[in-house]
Amino acid sequence: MSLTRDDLQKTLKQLQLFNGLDDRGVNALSAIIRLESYETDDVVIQQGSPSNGIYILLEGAMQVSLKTTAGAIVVLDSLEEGSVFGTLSAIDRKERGATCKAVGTVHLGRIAMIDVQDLMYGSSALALGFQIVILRSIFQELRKTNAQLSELSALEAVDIV
Amino acid sequence: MVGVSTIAENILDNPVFVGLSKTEAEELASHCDILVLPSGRTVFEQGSKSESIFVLFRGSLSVSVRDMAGEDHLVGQISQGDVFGEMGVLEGQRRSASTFTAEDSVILRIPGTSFTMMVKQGHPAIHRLLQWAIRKSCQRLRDLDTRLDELFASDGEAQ
Repeated sequence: MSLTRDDLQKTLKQLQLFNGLDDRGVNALSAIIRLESYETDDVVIQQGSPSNGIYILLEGAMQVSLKTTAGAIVVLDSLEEGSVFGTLSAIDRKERGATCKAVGTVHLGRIAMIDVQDLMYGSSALALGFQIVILRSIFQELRKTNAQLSELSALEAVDIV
Repeated sequence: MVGVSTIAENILDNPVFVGLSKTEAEELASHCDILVLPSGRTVFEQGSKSESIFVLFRGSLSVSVRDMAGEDHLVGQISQGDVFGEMGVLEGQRRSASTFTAEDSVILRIPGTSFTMMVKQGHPAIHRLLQWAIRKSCQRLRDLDTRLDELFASDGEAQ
């Protein structure tokens, strides 16, 4: 069953990442979010493609994988409800760095590029609140990537020992 | 004590706040103070409450992390013009590292409460600060992603 705009508002209010936005901010953001649904194995984001916006995982789960320069496919992460993804390339306008695939039925909210640009370059309270959400989601990504790097470096160190 | 007009002049000279009007710089300055610190002084300690966001106007800082065994490790440097300490304030978490001056330094301190108030006002100074922090974080994430790809590639070759 698809999500309604009311469901979207309720979900956003419950998400920690959005707790800096007041009710007005959440309602304004909800109004520009496009609701999309996908089924198992549907590719939502394809590595190497241009950005079409920022996604919020409202229901379901996603898998993030990377095709390395050596050609291997590596599963990087599983995304849970409340995750914001696709942020980096939407902000720096470079191509998508990984592939995101639906695991089961998923309901997503998408903020289209035109709205991302408006919010990123605006200085209204809503725009600043949105920029804080973006910054916090990048911090989360940085922490995850750092943890993966530490793990891989540790494995390398063990190999050497 | 450094006056508002001097702080505003320093704000206008900083690349983070490029394009800000004099009035906007003075509004920001009225909520901030300036730390003038000699080399070797701590700006904040790992584990302390995150209460302020900082911009390094002049000088340079070192970043260190204390491990479980109580040993300090240098993990980075903060260069002139950089915004720092924003992660702890925005995440409501304690400081994950310590910072101290590597040379005589001048630092703008924006209290977290003032930052929150200026976000609600939609103040252009906060917009510029967030833009800077987002750009810097995106670049850092791209660098880490490249490093990750290299590690996966070398791991694949090893096997």
